[in-house]
Amino acid sequence: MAKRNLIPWYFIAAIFLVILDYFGMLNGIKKPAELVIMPVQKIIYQTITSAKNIGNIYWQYPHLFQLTTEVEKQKRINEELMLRVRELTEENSKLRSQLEAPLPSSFKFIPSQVLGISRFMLLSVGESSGVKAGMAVVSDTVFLGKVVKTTSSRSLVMLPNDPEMKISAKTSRGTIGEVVGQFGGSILMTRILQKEPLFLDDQVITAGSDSLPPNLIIGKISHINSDDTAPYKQAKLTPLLDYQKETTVFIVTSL
Amino acid sequence: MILFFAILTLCIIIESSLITFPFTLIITFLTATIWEERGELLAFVAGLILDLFTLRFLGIDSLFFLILVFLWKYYRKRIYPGSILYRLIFLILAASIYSFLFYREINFMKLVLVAVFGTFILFFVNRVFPRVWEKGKLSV
Repeated sequence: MAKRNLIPWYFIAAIFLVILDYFGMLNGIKKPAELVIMPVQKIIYQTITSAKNIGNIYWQYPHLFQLTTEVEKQKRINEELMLRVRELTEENSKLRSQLEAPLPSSFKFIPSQVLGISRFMLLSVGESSGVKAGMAVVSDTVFLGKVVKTTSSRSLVMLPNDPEMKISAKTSRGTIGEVVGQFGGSILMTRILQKEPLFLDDQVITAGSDSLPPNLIIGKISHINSDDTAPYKQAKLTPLLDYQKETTVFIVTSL
Repeated sequence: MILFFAILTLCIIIESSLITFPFTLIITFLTATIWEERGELLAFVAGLILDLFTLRFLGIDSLFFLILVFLWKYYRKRIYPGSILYRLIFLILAASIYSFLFYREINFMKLVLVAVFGTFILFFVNRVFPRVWEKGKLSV
């Protein structure tokens, strides 16, 4: 009996699935699958993140005795500092109530754990927590990226070094430009007019003109590429955080 | 088959959570070229699992892997199927296109790693299942 060629059927099935998923008709199937996938990814990512310190421990092993003494000393200092922190916290609390100081920011945040970083950063919160595509992701005041896709319980975040990322930005001196990711993972600030001031170590922040919150730090200028004949100059940025080491991040839901 | 799915799951988890390296493509392609009668099924299922983990549109990776298996089967008739070199060249080309489409990068070092990893897998299979290659050889 002749063997049936099944490739066309698999092709049709794959194309059919892509179309259905594009229109969001497979969310009902994907939701139960995520209940299994999320814990697995979380455990693996956290284990690997912790395992990155093993090399460091091995390197420090010969200095173990010295380190133990140092730890004891640090513990004592820590106790003193904790006492000082307690005093300062009380003092701060009193001062705040006295001055009726408002919260430092009107932003609302959704905390999220990082499930993994490949091309995108994978987060453990999704539509069910109010996350939507386009929202900014931060750690303190550092911009980590923007949400590009969500499911009910997971989200994908495009990082600033992604080749498809484009952000309106300005430097700490007010120079306006556009931050774009590059093939190979570097970040560039482009479309800067030749006459605008640009210096090394200037911080680059979001301009707030493309639905992202303003004044989030994208990175600092590490290299300037200026050609007098070109209408624009550009600068290479160094991020302030190592995206690969982030374990908890915050999604900005409202400005 | 169990071994394949165990390795595949590990590769998918690593690829989706830790590194932009086409482990799944390598494993799926090499396995599909060895177990040719099940190649399409393996490519389809591996693609679906990878899509679920990476949040891509369900079926998009399956489609890529199926095209790969189809092209391999199409050109296989013109080359000696036991040759590791042809598979590796095919694999590196596929990995380059895959990395560009899904990870927006073409990294020369990673392509070298693809070749090394692919060679390792092929030698491993050759040792564990030495008779797999025999089917393709002509004998008098």
